[in-house]
Formats: sequence, structure tokens, C-alpha cells
Amino acid sequence: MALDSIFSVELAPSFSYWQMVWTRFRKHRLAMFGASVIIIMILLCFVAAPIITATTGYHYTSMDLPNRYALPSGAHWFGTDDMGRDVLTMILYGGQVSIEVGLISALAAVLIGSLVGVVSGYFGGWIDEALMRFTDVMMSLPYLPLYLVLAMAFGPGFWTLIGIFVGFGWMGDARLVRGVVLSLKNMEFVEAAKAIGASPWRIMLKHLLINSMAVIIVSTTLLIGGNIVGEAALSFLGLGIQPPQPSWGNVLQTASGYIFAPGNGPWLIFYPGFFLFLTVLSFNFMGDGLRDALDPRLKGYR
Amino acid sequence: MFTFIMRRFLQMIPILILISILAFLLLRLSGPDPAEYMIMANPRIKPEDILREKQRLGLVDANGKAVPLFIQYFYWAKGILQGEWGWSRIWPNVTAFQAIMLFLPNSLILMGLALLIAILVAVPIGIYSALKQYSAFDYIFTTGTFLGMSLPTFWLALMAIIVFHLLPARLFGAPWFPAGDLASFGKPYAGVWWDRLWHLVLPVAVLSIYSMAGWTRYMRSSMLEVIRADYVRTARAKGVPERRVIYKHALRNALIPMVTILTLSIPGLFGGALITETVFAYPGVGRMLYQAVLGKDYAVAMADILFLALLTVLFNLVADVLYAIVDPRIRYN
Repeated sequence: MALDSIFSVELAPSFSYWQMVWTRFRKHRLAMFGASVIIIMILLCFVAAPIITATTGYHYTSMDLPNRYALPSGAHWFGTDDMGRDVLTMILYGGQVSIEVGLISALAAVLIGSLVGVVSGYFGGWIDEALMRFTDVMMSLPYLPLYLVLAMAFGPGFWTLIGIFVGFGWMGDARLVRGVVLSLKNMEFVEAAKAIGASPWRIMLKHLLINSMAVIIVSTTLLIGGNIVGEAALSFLGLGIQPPQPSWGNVLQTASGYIFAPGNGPWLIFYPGFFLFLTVLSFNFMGDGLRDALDPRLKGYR
Repeated sequence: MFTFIMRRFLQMIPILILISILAFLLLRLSGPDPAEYMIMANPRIKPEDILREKQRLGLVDANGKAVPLFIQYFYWAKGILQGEWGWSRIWPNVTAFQAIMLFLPNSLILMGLALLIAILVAVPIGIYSALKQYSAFDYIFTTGTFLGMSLPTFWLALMAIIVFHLLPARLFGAPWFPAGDLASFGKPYAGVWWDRLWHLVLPVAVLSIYSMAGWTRYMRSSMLEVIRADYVRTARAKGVPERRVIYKHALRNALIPMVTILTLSIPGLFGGALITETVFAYPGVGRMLYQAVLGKDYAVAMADILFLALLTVLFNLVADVLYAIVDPRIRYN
């Protein structure tokens, strides 16, 4: 008699951590909505925009002055702006810059923040004290006013924006990671790693940072959304991305400049802002869903 | 308590010094050389005059040698402490300090109202959401807070102008609310209190939405935490009426963290008001700073940043003290 027929036990299927995360994430309806919108948005901005240019010839540099302020129609879904440019095309090309700024600056800021947090939490003592006091100072700065002065000083542009958002965006993540590291560093697996002679850097990078991933991923997601708004705000104030290169912020700025002009349609303001709003909302939904999915214990906390 | 406040007060000093160093470096490294200004104003200016001006500003010493940056900082800090905040470039005959004082009252009115309305809306909704967790009400408003927190202020402000000013003006011949400014011009009622209030409606509404959304969420989670606490269960178990349990036992404790959150968010509101004030052409400190930056009025911009930093640090202190007062469990030694 075959052994396996005696011991035929129905084993519950086992799941890896990431499979469980996916299962939980999938149940979070708002987060799934957010993730889908983000994917669609990225496809629209980076894939559809060049296709539109190739098929219709619309581009953010192609003006059509006789056709200014055209109403939304079959030829121009979202109408045209003050120079007769197709608003949809402007928005999609603008989205490229907005998403790039948000993504690059958030990733860099979280990288720096995580390193500061893990070093601070692991070493403790005067290193921790010095780093955390510095973090406190950075957190008590008036951001928006300072952004304006910095953008003016370094000349507004893509890399100035990234520099500002990285320079002033890492503190939140540093604090969160430090908190996680403080709670982890006296656990057995760290002791074990130390006992077999792992170097402090190995412990920090391979053990502590990896176990802080839940916090890191969530704060990256939320920071991307925040930085996209930040980019739009600075560009809206004329201190971010400069025309003719469109971004969601400066398209809105241009539109707001002739908000009282006769013939100006509300859609010129509505559409770029709505795309911005939808994208930021999606990142916030996704961040919330990821928090619940990555670490169910954190559920309900902000 | 007194020693606690004093100690926290002393801790403010190093933070303020660090911020002032940062502000100074920005000013010196990014701001234009005073000599450039003089050449711009008078192309035929003599080199001796430029030298004298630089000596007066402490940029070079008596022998014409450049003064090290850190010594320049001490001169500058001394000036700030003595109240010499520099003259504004774009507002004639006004010092940077006077410029702030000129626009501050308008900002305080705008933010005071926004704060009040945000609290009056957020606290009850947060409480009710928590009490009816997972109900339709809770679901709608929790999702609503996400919408509120994701709304870009400038877009919301522009849409408010379109919906409540432009469209009614086109459809009905008269706008429902003014699109900006402090008060009407050339009307018999210009500047009367209700005229000013009428002008404040849209900016206050726009400014309060973001805070409202955030605070509703805080209030909800704070209340949820308290409701599950043992002493609330005990109160119920010994037969205290539900209303009394909620308002007497739970709510009082749930409001403790709110005190801190509200206090800490006030300085941020000043910075955030910049966009609202700019879109609505409301003459407050925020719009002043924006105009100062665009006009390269570095004295005013830096004074404003120092002012806001001082405010932030001060409100951090106030939050700590308030927390110690409302929560007797906190020991401050």
C-alpha cells in the first residue's frame, strides 16, 4: 500500500508573503481603482501622447491661431487653448513631466530618508541624537515659502524641482524607518546575524531595511502623490517647469491667466486640474491599500 | 511645569539658530550682490562708492579684503536681533518687518475663519464616523476625506471662481461671490463688514477643505481608539447611559491628541495660504511672500521665512505645553 494514500492529508495551500500582500491588496477596492488609474495614466501620457502626435500632428509646439479657444469637439476632445493647441495633447505631455518629477524625487528622497533612519536607529547614541535633531530642524521649516525662494535662486526647472523635493522630502520616511529599526534591532534574528559575524552595514541593509519595506513602500507611494501636487503648485506659481514644455501646473497657470477673458471656457481649467487630482487621489488610495496589505497590523493608523 | 516650559523654550534656540544660518546662506548665495544693485540703479557709479557700500554692509573690511562668510553671518544676525530686517525693494519706504505687519492682519482673519470652520466640520463628522464605523455615512465621509486631501488647492480655488463667480455672472447676470480682493471698489458698501465677509467666503472655503479632510480622519481614528478602551467598556458595564459614555468618557479623551494636531498644523496653514491668497488676490502674508520672491525682494522673503520658522517652533512649544495641560498622565521631567 502506497504510503501517500495513508497519509493523504489535504494541505492548506501555502502562500508567500508577497502572495498574501497581493491577495489583501486585491480586496481593497479603492486601492485597486487607484492602481488601475495610475497604470492608465502612465500609458496615456507616455504611450498615447506620441501616438496622437503621430496620427493627428497635435503637439505642444503646434499652434493653430485661427482655432483659438475651440469648444470640445470630435477633432479636439478637450478643446483648444489660447494658442489653438489641443488641450488633451498638452495635458498628456504635461503629465509626462509631472509623473517623472513625482517618481524620481520620491524615490531619491525615500532612499536618503531610509538610510538616515536605519543609521540613526541602529547606531543610536550621539549619531542618532545629531541626525534626529537635524531632522527636527528640517521639519520645522516653512516649506512652500522656502521652495519659492530656492526655485528662484537656483533657476526654475526640472532638476531644481527634483533637488527641492529630495532635499525637503526625506524626513518623514527617516523617522518612520528609525521607528521600525528601533523595534527590530533587539530581536533574535539581528542577534543571530551579529553572532555569525555580519557587519553592521550588512545587518542594516540586508536585515533591517528589508524588514522596513512595508513602511518604505507606503511612504514612497504617498510621497509620489505629494510631489506631483508640489510640482504642479510650483509650476502654477511660475517657479517650476517653464513653458513651452507643458506640465499640469503650468497648463493651469496659462489657463488661469485668461480666466476672465471672454470666450474662455471653463474646460481649460477643469481638465488639467482633474487629471492632476485623479492621479494624486489614486496614489493616495494606493498608499492606503498598500499599508493595509503590507502590514495588516498598521490598519487604521495613518 | 515652569521648568518644563523653560527647558523647551531653551531648546528652541539652537533650532532657530540653525534655521537662521540656513536663511542667511540662502540669502547670500542666491541673492544678488548689493554692488550689482548699485550698478543697475546707476551705471556710472564710482568703484569707491561700491567699496564704501560693501564696507557699510560688512561684506569687505577696511582694507578692502573680503570678510569670511561666518563673520558676515554674525553681523547679519546682530542686525536681525536689533530689529534691522532690511528695506523692502518693491514696497517703497517699508522695512521687511513693517511689510509683514502690514499684511498679517488680513492673513489672520482668513486663517482664523478657515481654522474655525474646519474644526466645526471635522470634529463632529469624525466623531459620528467613528461611532458608526463601517456604516454608509462612515464609508462616504472616509472616502470624502481622501478626495479633500487630494484636491490641489489652486485648482479648487480656480474651480470655485468658475462655479460661484463666472458661471452665475454669465447665466444670471450677477456673480454669487466675488472672485477675490479684500472688499468691493467704488460701491457705497465697500469695506463694510458684510462686504468683507462676502469676499472671504470663497477663500475661506477653499483654505479650510484640506485641513477639514485631514482632521476628520484624525478625529475618527482617535475616537475609534478610545471607544475600544477598557474604561469605556467599564463605564458601559456599570450602566452609564450611552450618551454619557460617549460625551463624558470617550470624547474628552479622544480630543486630547486633536489639541496637538490642531496646534501643530497652524504654522503650515500660513505657508499653505500662499496659494489661496495668490489665486484670490487676497492681500495676506502669503501673497506678499510670493510677490517678494518674484520681485527678488530678498529682505522681505527672508524676513517672512524667519517669521514662519519662528511661528513653527513656537507652536511646537505651545503644542507640547497644551498637551501637558490637557493630559494629566504626561509627566514633564
